[in-house]
Amino acid sequence: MLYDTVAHISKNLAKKEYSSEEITQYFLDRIRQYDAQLNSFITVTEEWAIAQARAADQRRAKGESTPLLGVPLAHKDIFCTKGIRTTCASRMLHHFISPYDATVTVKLNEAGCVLLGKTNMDEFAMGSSNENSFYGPCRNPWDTRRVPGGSSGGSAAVVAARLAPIATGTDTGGSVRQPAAYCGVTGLKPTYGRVSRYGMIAFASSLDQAGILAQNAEDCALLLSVMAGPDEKDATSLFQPVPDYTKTLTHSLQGLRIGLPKEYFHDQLGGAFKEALESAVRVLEALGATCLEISLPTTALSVSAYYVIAPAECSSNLARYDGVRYGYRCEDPKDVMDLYIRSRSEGFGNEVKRRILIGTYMLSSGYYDAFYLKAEKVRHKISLDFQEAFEKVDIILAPSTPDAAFQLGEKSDPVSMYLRDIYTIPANLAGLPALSMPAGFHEHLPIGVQLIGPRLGEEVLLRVAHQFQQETDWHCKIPTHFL
Amino acid sequence: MKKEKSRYRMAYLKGAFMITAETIRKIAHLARLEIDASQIDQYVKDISNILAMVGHINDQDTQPMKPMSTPLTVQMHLRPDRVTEMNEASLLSSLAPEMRAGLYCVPKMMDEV
Repeated sequence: MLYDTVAHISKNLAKKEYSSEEITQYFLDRIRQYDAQLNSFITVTEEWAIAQARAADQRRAKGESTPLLGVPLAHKDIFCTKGIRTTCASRMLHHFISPYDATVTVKLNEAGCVLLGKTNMDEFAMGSSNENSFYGPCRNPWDTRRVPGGSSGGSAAVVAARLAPIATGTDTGGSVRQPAAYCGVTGLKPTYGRVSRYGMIAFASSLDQAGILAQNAEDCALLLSVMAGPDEKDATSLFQPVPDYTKTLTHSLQGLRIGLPKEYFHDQLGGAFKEALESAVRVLEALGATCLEISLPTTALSVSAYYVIAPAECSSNLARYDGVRYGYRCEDPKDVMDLYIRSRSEGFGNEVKRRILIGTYMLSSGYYDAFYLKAEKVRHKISLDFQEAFEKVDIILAPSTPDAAFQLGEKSDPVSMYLRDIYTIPANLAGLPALSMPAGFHEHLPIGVQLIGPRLGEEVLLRVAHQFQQETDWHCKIPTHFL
Repeated sequence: MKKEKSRYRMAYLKGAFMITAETIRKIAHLARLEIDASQIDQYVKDISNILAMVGHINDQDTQPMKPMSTPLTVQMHLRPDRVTEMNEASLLSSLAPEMRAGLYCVPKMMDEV
């Protein structure tokens, strides 16, 4: 069971090698055994999981047999789950029991998935290390002195340590792909709008997208085929048909053009990371693809533009947390202003407060044009860069991160933390799909490489990643301690 | 194009975007936050550094560009005019810190007449 991917679990459940209740209990036992070392779950839903697993087994006994029926998974604790605590790793929502399900939750429930629990994350998805959590940091299964990445650090750690076969995440500036790279798993961020954001607690509404952390691209394809699609409750969801992403995984890569952005391959990129990329190029060329150099000239401005737009949007989105209708309320407020100020100041952590302040400043009178409007124009330029690149190539290959997982507490300076998002942020600004897959090791730590596709190009990303993973075994590695 | 670049660059160099403790307090109040006095200096330092980092966007000539607020070409999808949501007032009010008679309670806002 340890080595079973979602595809294997699905086949084994269909063949009745084991029941959903048995595989669910297996993962619950592993969570009980190992999670204290990782702190990857905020809430473990043991009774709920067993009840769902039994229901899935009953559905199967009545003749139902869909790919995800009875498959256990974990949700990042940013997706609303009715009747189950949804905290966003914040004191502000410590006691919040969601009154409704996110669309992602509904779809995966209807498909028969079994919820093992809600995973740890950076508070309100703001962070790149999972150190900004009210519930304490999550740890990297490859080295528990190190971060798993963020903000979907818990989901990445859970899959890497095989405490769940697959997990959901969200990606606003790299929060699925970066922890995927740090933890040696496959992480997919779909095209903006491909997956509904209804019930996905908002950080930056023009950048947020639901994603997947999995053992491989095939599993991402299985989950995305269910998660994706239009939603009347989300006006930004794309009303385009959803293909079965598993059907094209084995289509040939012959003639596929892969772009290598020269701005991403600079002298400061470490030797092991360059070697992982060069090795990936050799594998893909052997499969029939052609790699050529391209240029994304506004790369250097992407972090700056992002750290104007994202805080600005977050300052607006987090204004709803006022201690009145739900969420944390301070004790004995003396007046309404005191209620707002103390509830918010006590309810939010430092990183969240910092970003709200930056966003408020940049949207304030006198600075709106210089910062926010300017950043939106830069965003447009970045998007046009990608459009131009995709006239010459079919996908782009790039590093996922400039380095491997760092030590807990090592990066206390926000700017040095923000600058590490350089490779992941551009895809969010342009709304493009992107995927990180394991491609090597630096000493004992995983390295990921990233594929970026054109709008609605999930099919080609998954196909390339799947065939890369047929030729390599980086994605099969499990940290020894969790075997 | 030259005019746009020099205006922002000059403003930046004149310290138009400098952050002080007083600025932090004012912005915090707008955001309905309060920063503890012991942390103000660190916030000043961190936010100043972040503004210096993001200030590079002002070096970029973006004259012909329109602002891009979303990567989508937004089309408002209409749906049939039918009721899809039920009244769940009691469920929603169960989340409130304090309710009375179906109303959210907050400290008194208005003076005695």
